[in-house]
Amino acid sequence: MIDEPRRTLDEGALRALVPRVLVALVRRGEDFDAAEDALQDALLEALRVWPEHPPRDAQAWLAKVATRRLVDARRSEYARQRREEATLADPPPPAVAEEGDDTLFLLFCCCHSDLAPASQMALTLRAVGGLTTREIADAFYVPEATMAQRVSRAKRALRGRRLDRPGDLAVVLRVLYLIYTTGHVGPPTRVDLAGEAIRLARQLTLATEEPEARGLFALMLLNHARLPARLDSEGRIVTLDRQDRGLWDTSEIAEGVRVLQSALTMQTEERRLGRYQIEAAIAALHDDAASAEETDWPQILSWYDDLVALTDDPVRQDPAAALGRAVAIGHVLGGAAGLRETERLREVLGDRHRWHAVRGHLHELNGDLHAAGAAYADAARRATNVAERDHLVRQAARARAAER
Amino acid sequence: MLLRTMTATRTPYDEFRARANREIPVVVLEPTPEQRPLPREPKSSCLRDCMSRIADRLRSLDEAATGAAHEIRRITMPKYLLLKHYRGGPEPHRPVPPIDQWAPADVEAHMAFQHHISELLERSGEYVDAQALAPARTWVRYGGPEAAPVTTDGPHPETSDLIAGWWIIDVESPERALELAAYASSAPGPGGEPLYEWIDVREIMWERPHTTEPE
Repeated sequence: MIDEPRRTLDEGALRALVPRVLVALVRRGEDFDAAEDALQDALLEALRVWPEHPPRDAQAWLAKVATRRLVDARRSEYARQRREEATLADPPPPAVAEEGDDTLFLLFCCCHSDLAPASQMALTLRAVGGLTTREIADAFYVPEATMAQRVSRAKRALRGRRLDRPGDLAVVLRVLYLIYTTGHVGPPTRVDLAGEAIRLARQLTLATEEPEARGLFALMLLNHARLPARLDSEGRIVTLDRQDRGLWDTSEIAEGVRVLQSALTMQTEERRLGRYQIEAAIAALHDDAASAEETDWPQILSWYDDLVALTDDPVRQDPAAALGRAVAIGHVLGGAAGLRETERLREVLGDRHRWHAVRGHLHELNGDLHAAGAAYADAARRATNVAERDHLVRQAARARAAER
Repeated sequence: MLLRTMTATRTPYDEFRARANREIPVVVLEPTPEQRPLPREPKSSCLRDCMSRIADRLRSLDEAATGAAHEIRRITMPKYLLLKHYRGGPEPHRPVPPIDQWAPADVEAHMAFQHHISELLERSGEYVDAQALAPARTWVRYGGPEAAPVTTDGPHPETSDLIAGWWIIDVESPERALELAAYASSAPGPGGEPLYEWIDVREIMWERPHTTEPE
């Protein structure tokens, strides 16, 4: 083959245009569902054509191709309607929220509370993230046809819903956090879901003043900063206390702390701190410790106290927070105290691997390696992730070997 | 020890292949009487016949030695499912305690070997899929009209057969499937000794007929 100059396409820039073009189409009165489909077609076309023939005005190109698709679709739809002798005119375009919060508007559409979380994530990644259906399918390990079906079913569910009113920001935050954790937990895929969630959260903080949006953004950054140390060269999980802290991304930590501080200053008497800000504060305290031994556990515990105080019945309503608090108690007051704390969660979390893994850790703090080995083995049997299962088997074997 | 061998140029797979003498036939064990639920035809001869029929077919295609024959062979490459079981199957050749009770170095060697097999299959172009299953099991059936589904964890949850995971491979021949399964079974166990684990090899049926029937 002749070595022709390989033109590389700036996919990031292309994808950033998707929500802008989509909002412009919807504001013009196009139906969200049809516009989103048309734009996905335009995106695929762009990915195919642009490497060879880059457009002069990328945004205008996308809008033009998407509009052409919409006109084609409408023409065949009109023909169908004529055959069926259905109603005459389209409903008037919905009055949409004011300009300037395009991202927020789209996120409210995609994270509509009538949709299941899997659909909310898929739709958000496509309409706001500008990912192709194939990329989203790869990231969630399902066939492309399945993901396409999930997206179109979600949009069908939205049909007839009013999309002009502000939605529930809490749902948007939860969806973004789900996207983040899906990317954080799973094995590496071609699409970096964690990075994608961070990008979307950053956009969100530009669109709203809400401190919880900043709290979530900070939490992601402060967590993501540790990602390079989370797996060793063989792909094995390295727990926080054993991580090479030199691998942590200090600029991400610095940005996370800055974002968190800006959120905390907005705290007032009436506006209590939200959960993402509190979790970000806990992450920041871990990031701040130069070594595991220097971790400020008493302060972490006091933030966990705030976290569980957000709900009336934390054991049932927020067991994950209660479990995190048990770990902090173990470090401040000793393993036995932490174990007593986990007992309250047995009924709710006793079937989950994480409950057993935490107990293994607390038994170790307590110096009971025999019980630690058994707890880690129980955790391994309940794990639903191969990397975590392997990690827990190693923990069990290590505790048992040290016991001998 | 195993980790060291694997970083050397000669992989455990090379060792395995070098030692495997192709002249030694596959040893087929008769099922023990208590494992045989009903009197039936000896399964072993059926398997051998079946294998040799397939081998004959492939050989005749080879002998035809035409491009067309080669083409047919290529598109009829069989896919196999290599199943691993948590429990069930024939009497273990070498009983071992659960992996969480092994020495840490043995655990590492075993896990490294599992990764090595997936890499090997990907490199050889035989990999289709690999999955691990969590051991928790729920049986469920239709409960009847206007009734909730009925669930159970099985009549004998402690002893019934339980699948742990699989590889799906796309290989040239049934012999190759058995060879890969035997290699997977040689994964190191306690003390670095091979596990001799039974692997359940199943051919995956085709969705579409091989030949186009006239409509």
